Amino acid sequence: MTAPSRSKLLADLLRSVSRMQPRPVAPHPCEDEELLACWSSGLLGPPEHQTIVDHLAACPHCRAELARLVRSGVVEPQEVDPAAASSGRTQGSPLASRGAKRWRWAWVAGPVAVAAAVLIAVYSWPDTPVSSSLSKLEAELNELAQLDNGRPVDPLGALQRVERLIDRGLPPDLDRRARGLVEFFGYRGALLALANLKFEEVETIERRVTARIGDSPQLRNLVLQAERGLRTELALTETGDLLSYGYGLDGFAPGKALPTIGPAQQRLHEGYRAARTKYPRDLRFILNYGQFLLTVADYVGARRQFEAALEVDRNNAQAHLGLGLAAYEVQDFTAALGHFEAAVEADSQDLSAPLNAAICLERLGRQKDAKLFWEKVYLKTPDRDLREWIETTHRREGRVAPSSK
Amino acid sequence: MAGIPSQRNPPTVSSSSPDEEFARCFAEDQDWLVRQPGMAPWSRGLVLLREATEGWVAEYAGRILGQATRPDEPAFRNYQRRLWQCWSYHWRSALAGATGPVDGLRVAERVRAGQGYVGQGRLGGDVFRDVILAEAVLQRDDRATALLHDEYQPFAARLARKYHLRETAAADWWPELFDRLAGYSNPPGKLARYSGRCGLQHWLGTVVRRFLLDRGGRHHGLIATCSPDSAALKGPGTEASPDQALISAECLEHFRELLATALPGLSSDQAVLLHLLFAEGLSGKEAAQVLGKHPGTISRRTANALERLRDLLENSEATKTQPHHECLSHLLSGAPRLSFGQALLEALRDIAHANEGP
Repeated sequence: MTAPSRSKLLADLLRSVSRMQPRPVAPHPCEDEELLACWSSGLLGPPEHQTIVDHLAACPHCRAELARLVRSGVVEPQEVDPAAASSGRTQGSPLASRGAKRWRWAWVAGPVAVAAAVLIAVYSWPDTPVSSSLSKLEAELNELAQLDNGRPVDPLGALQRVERLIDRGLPPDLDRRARGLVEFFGYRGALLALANLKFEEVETIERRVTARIGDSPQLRNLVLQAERGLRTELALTETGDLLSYGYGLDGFAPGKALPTIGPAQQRLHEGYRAARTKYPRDLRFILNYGQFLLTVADYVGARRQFEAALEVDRNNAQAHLGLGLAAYEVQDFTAALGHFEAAVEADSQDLSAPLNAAICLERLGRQKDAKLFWEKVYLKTPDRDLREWIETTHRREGRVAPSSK
Repeated sequence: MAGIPSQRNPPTVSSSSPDEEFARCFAEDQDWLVRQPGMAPWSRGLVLLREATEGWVAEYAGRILGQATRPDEPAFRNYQRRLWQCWSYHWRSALAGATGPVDGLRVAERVRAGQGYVGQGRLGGDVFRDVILAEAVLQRDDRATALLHDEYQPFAARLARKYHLRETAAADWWPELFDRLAGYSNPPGKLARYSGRCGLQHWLGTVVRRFLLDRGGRHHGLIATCSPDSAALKGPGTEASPDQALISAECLEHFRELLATALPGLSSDQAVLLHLLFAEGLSGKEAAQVLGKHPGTISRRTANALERLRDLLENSEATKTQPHHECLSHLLSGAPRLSFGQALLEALRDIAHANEGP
């Protein structure tokens, strides 16, 4: 007798129990096409989304139907952004997302200054045929400058306006500055699209921007991220912990297989190599290429990239993090620990490094030393599931869970 | 417009006076409306609502129908009712996110510019106009019918091509869909359920894709059918697979009872995640979309949900009874021949603990 697949048996078991569940009374979300349309259009707020999830938990009919619709692409649920609801904000801001880093503002500050300069220049330009559009642009730029106050900003709308201005014709000096704005708004729009998993849109934006200004390294990087299905500008922001590479909290990875290298990986490889040649000191490409090499099990190559990143910025937390991951993958746990500790020192806010350090120490059998890192992660992580996992793991091994401190 | 019937339906007619009907339309919203700017006293608020909605109905009906409609016409009240349904939804949404009263006219201004108050806020068009158009089509207005066809048929056809749900031309299926939208054969039609929470184009996108999926499935077997395996566990005493035959029917029933008791102990997110992944066969990314979670966290969430399920199974009251306890212990023992229970528990162990070294 051949053993049946696990998924088949689990499916049978869960379906069998599902049939025992009483079907809740209407309304059924799966029958409300307007609700489904709102979901696919990013027009659901957290309360409506939670109502749907609660209903799904109790309704086998809606679960089955929604699964069918999602699988076939009829419904493409969009991210529910709690901060965007009702606040007047029209787009979820990636800068507010978990993966956002404070230093990203350093990149924002420059273009904002350019935007302000354009405003001043535009207003000192007498009787231009575009003055009314410029006044509208001013409003958008002011909103942009107020982004951190939660004011609405629509980068793609702004991009379109700047494009129109350029098309109408601007004096050379302003034209140059406006093209700077094209890159800035395009970059912001692409970040948003990436955060919302609209990967095709990132490429579209890049094409629009490069048509105006030529190559843009920051957009090229986002396109590569989109091709990889990542939603942040730096891959290690979302895949910096060992859990992302198949390891458990005990530092083991049973069943971890060698990656498959297909045409997509080859294409990405070429893309990164070209970008590295063209922009040799751009940290985004160096770090992301390093992380990419980790995913294709080229640990030596990954280590070289992260070392190159340290040459550009010797205190770069993500470079240390990447070096730690590369060392861990070749089972050099002591070296990995050193890099993770350096990453903790370089960026005390990031939780991937202390989590990795704790796992590393577990793997080295130094549970007592791991305790401090576990506590840090446990107390600071917003991820309730991770906290539960840490608690459960500690309890199972008869140790005091961080929560009981 | 070939293939689209346009027989005229009589509009809904009320026997009460227009004023009474108008007041009744807003009565159930009076409590919250009267607290909004410019709405107190209520009599004044009613005037504001009436003037605003009548003005918009006149404006949109003029544009869509190509002729003026008067408040004393029965159809006018239907337009007004639909418009208020839409306006009040967005007004309440604005209120839900505001710290104080909200000016309804400002809400309307924003909504008419295609901006809503929930989620990303992009409604995809002027929803006031869209609800009037929808109602006009239901009223069998020829011009509105032509407008809906001309404006949305190319969009629907593009959508169909994009999703590869049908290879045939839109002419083959559009009249059938239009019939369902307008309710010619089976009133009142899908458009009666459109309330302007999102733009008509967004709504129609979902309706078209679902229609084509169902139609394709009916005619061409495109619908993802239930796995034939799903019929394997109908319950004790029914046809058993060779694997189940190794487990007693009684134990199987106990185990199913335990699971049914344990599942409600999971959070909604956890229960939905397990069902979507294991019973419905969605990928982790798709399940993440449904739950609004980052796809990168799904493995971890699954492990936690299975861990929790295992705790619930082991610690439930039902497990304390002798037969259930014995059954669970039997299954937990992981005897190689008990592949049914073993599969679940292996999954629990492998995924949740993952503590075997390489």
